[in-house]
Amino acid sequence: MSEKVTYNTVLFEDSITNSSVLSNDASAISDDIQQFLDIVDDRILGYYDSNITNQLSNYTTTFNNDSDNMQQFGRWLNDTYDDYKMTSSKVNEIVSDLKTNELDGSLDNVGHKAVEDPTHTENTPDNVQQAAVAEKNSNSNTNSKDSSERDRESLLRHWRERNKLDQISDSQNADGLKVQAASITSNGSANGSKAGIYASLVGAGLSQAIEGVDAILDDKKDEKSQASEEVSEEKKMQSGPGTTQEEEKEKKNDNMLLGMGVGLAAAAFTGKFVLSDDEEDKEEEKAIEKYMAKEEKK
Amino acid sequence: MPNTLTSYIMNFKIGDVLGGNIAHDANVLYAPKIDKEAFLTALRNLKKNVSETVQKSDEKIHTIDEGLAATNSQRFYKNATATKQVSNLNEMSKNMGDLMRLLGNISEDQISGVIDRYNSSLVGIKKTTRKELLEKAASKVNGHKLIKTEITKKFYDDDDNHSYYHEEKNGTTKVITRRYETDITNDLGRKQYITKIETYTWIQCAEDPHVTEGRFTEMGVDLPYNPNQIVDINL
Repeated sequence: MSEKVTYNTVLFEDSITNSSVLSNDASAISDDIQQFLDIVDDRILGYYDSNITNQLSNYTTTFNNDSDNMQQFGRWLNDTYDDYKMTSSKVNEIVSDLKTNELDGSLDNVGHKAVEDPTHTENTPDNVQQAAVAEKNSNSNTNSKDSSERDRESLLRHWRERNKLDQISDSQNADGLKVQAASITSNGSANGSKAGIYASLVGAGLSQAIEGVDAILDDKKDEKSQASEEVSEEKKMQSGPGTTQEEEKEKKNDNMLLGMGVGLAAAAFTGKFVLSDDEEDKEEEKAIEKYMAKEEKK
Repeated sequence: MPNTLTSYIMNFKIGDVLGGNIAHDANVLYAPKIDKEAFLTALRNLKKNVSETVQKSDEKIHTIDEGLAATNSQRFYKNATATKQVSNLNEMSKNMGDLMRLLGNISEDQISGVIDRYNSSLVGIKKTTRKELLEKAASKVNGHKLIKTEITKKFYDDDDNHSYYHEEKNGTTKVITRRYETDITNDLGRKQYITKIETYTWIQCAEDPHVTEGRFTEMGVDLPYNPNQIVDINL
């Protein structure tokens, strides 16, 4: 496991300030030497070591050069720091977008290979990657539980609206929904009728979707808290699809998708599918209709 | 140190003075002693100021090194500009170390001893030179600079106590009296003599050069040096 490195912005800002101080220090040393040479009796230095006078005189030039060099150093550090801040800001935007897209459950993104974390691309400086990781760690742990719960509630609300499952109230949590789903499944199976069968599929699909969503949200919690300790694992993910964590992630995403698809198809046959009037839902309705049309053709 | 004297300084190097290899001319009198206390104070201030500045600078350089290391500088700062900038930082650190070593090699005790010997030798040379210069200048005029001549003619009795040559010297003059016999004899048989009194400058050099210098002034003879430019006047 590689050594953990933290990008210390305080140290870096201090370095920029200290460069200016170093420039002044070098200039002060040069002045001190010159002042000494101006007042000291040349007979002494000439007798003691004829080189001393020359060396001291040379040092006035040397430290004047060092003073200029430190000024340039400070300017270079400042430019480098500005580049870092700009890059870090961009990376944070990308990370933020990734979080949003993943939790959104967009059909275009779910089930695909996990989007390569731009904080770990080859082209991103190591320090920026580490900064992004550090920021993910510092920000996500505090908010992960709340955002997970919100995300879960949001997804499950979509389900309720789509499937018009009236017996499920808004106040019910996911466990309650699972119980309802299990009940629908068993009742539908026991009924034996076509409607009953499809009802059971709805219940099963809903249950599966809930489990899939829960699993994904749980994974995200674990992922965030372990991200800083599993740098090598994340590097494994960088190398492309086929790693263990990615496969599991895909499987869980597929579970959710499958559950949604089965449930939606079953809901359509049982006539329990209700479309909402909201523009956003209309978009979803179109997608669902297409999906149902495909299923009917099979 | 007055600028007018700086031209004399490098003619009196420590090695030359300690070795006695100095021309005994008026310039010696003008060469100042080495101000030991002033030099030691200047040296100590330089060492102290440089040491304090270097210590603070080292801390700052260390902080900068930490800052660069925290950004994984070995991998991040690989281009020519970055390499040069980091190299300049290290160069300053090296220069400070070299300067500290140079200053550390200047021993105050050793320098103090050298200065004391130099000043002592220089004062001795000054004293000797001053005396030599005065004597030399006096010898140029002594017995040669006629101040006045007096001639008298007198008839002297035979029992007059007279001499044909008389010389008197004091601190500043020498009087020479010469008497010549004329061939004039009066009716009483008394001879006439011509007395010529010549007074010359004669500067007697005293132990105290100030006294001698006074005699030079009294006799209107120029001193061999400018007493107003002599430093360390309490010779």
